[in-house]
Amino acid sequence: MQKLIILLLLTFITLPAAADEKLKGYVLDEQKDPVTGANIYWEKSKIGVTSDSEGYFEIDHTQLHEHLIITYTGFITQSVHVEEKNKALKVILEEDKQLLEELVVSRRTPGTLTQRSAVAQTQKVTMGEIHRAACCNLGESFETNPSVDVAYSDAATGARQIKLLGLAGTYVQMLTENYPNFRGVASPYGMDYIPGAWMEGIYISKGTSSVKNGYEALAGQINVEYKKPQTMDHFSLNLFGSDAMRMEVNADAGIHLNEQLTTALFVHYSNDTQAHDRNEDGFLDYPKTKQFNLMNRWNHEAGKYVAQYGFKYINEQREGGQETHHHTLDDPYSIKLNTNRGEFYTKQAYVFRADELAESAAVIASGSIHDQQSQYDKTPYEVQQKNLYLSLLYEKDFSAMHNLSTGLSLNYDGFDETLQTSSFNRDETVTGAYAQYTFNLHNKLILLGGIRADHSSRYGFFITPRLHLKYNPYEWIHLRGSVGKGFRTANVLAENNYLLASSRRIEIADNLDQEEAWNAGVNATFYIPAGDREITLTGEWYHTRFMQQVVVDVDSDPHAISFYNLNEGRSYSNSAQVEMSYPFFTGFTLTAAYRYTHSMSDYRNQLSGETLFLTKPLMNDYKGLLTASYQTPLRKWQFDLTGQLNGGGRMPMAANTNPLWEEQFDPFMVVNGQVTKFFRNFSLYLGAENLFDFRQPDPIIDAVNPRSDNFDATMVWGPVHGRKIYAGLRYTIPRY
Amino acid sequence: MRKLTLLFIIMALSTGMGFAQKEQRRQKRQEVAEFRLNEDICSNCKRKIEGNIPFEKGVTALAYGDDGTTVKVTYRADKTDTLKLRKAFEKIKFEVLETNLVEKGQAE
Repeated sequence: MQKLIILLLLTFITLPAAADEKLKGYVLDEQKDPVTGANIYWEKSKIGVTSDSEGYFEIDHTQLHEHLIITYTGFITQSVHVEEKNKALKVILEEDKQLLEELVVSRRTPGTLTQRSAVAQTQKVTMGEIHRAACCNLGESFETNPSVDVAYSDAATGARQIKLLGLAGTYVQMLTENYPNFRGVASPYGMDYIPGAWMEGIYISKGTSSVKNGYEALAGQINVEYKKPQTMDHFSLNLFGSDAMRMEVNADAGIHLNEQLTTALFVHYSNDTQAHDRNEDGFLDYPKTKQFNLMNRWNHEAGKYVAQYGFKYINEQREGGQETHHHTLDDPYSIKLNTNRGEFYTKQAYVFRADELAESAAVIASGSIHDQQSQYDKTPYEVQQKNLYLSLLYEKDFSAMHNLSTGLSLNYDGFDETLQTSSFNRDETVTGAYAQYTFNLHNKLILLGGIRADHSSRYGFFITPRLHLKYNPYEWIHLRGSVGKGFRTANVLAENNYLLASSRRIEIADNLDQEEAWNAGVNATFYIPAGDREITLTGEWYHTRFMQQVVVDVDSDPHAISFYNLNEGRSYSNSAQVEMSYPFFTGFTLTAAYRYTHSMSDYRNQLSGETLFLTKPLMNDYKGLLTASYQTPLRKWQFDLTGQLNGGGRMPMAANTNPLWEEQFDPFMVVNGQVTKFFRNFSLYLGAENLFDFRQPDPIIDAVNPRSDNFDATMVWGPVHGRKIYAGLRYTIPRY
Repeated sequence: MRKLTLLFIIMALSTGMGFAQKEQRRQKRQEVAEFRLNEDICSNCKRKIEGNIPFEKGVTALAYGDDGTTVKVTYRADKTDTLKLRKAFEKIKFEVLETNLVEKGQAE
């Protein structure tokens, strides 16, 4: 918990301008024993002291805006933003297991870290990991990650879906900067709304997470942290081009206006407007896309008060359907989407105490307007979603053992939605309160229990309990368990509007209920010393069971998609994963992982009343991943190679007579590779995605007759575009 | 063009792993010098050193001494010398208090 608070402080706080007194504090190791003789000094002024036998130190404040550095041989050096001048500081040094007699430069930190201290199982994908692949946006950042799958939802719109624990992406809560984002209508294309170059890191947690961020997150949570104006480089530029003539520019700049005020500006433009039809089915393999994305964020720190503000605007145009460049068609089937999205957020925090018994209060407010004008051939679909989110949080450490976090929240979603001529306007306001208690027994046993009560204007009261447990009897073994409930309001059309790229009838039952599920999981992580390095071995199992779900049924009728309540039916998902990684020699890391997924659901034929209990369609049974990365000793070259073996699965049921597709799809392999050459302030990269050019044959059913009953672009299980070769440049003016 | 690029990538990936070692074997005269700086080497200073010194001509390895103020640089004697490296440190705003030639290079 203290670490969480330190993290919070690091995110929120820096140094006040003037100081007159001495800063006092303690340096402790992970077992809470004092560290004697640690060096404590101000980073710029170089004024330093050492800690005494109690781990205690006193140091004069300086006039500069600078970090306090705490070093001790054999421990990881800590850099702390000091905010509270008058309160004693507590610094916990972590043992540096990698450190030997001599520090070797270019000892790489692994790209994906399992957060040892986190109570819930959390993985952090670092910038280094993001740079291992072409990574133009968030959707492309998981290629080297075994837990998260990102796949195209259909072969016409370019909509992409995340899958976690064998569940669809809508059950994964998306957060940016730790507040919910990209809900509802933004979910099908939201993966493309965060440029890779803007991100500082991605946090993935599986299972139900903390109740702080709401009652959603049935399968897990993905939090994206953007680069911070306080710490990011002065300037960075990323240029990208691929053999398919996709062009992309990303630029960002961090500006320190004064000691208290910092700002950052981010710009992204991408253009992928060449027509490609390699399988010659007359349809574009993927849509022509243009995106413009702009973000500005501010950070203001004045003593105990910290404020953040952010603004974002996205315009995206997509154009898919029949290829008209090389074919002359009188009336081509076309899909056009024009999206405009504006976002704002602010976080205001006040830190009462920042010592070992921290206490803070914060307000988070965010809002967005998302407008999508789309035309699926002859079917117009227009939707506008307005969202407002307010959250008030208070946190206090009563002692090293007991921490309480509590808060209030309000979320409003309003939809103006029109499909052809029918309109589906609706809104929902959910107000709620939560309390979360953490019991921490010497960092060996941590128990985190949370409960929230919410009231929805559509569904009434509901209670969300969640419990997490972490036990590490020894430093090398971390055991975690979690059980909890999650709820979600399904916005079927908004979240699935890519399904309009088919001739299927859309049947939405009246009075869809709120989705409700239990999730339970266990996880064990072992850090096994082997030579002077460590093998990291992780095993996990998660089970999700729906009490109520909005079933997306493409099985009962090959010419329809139905959405209806699961009611008394069964729906569950099991996911088991093992992962091992080992840095074989300096600069080289190999990770191998295998995941098995089994998702079942009842599908009820609305006409015959017959119910079938089937595995979820278009879901891979398993995934194997092998990823290797090598960096030369002086970090001048880096080589990355990743192979994914995606298991087969079930296709939706085809028509009994004259079926147009198979019952199953086969396993397939995708290999990606990249070479990066580093120079003093820039690097060049060259890589290939899907090196062996695997493509799903005939991803569009009856592509020749897009207005026939059989046309369907949503039967997609594999890559729709083949090998992509790309090259790019990253340039930075670093901030040291 | 496409095939050519692809060929290049496959070659680069397959030969990449052994690349660095080969490069080291080729080098003939290596020297090691220790540079004692005027300040403790903080984490950001390390970022600065690691982002610049390796890209000086002739530098083949970099390590830090135990005392927290020295940087050990291995370099090719035919390409650079301690004077040039000292200048490189000064260029990134470090003062070099002491330069020690730890290992004199010998021709193989």
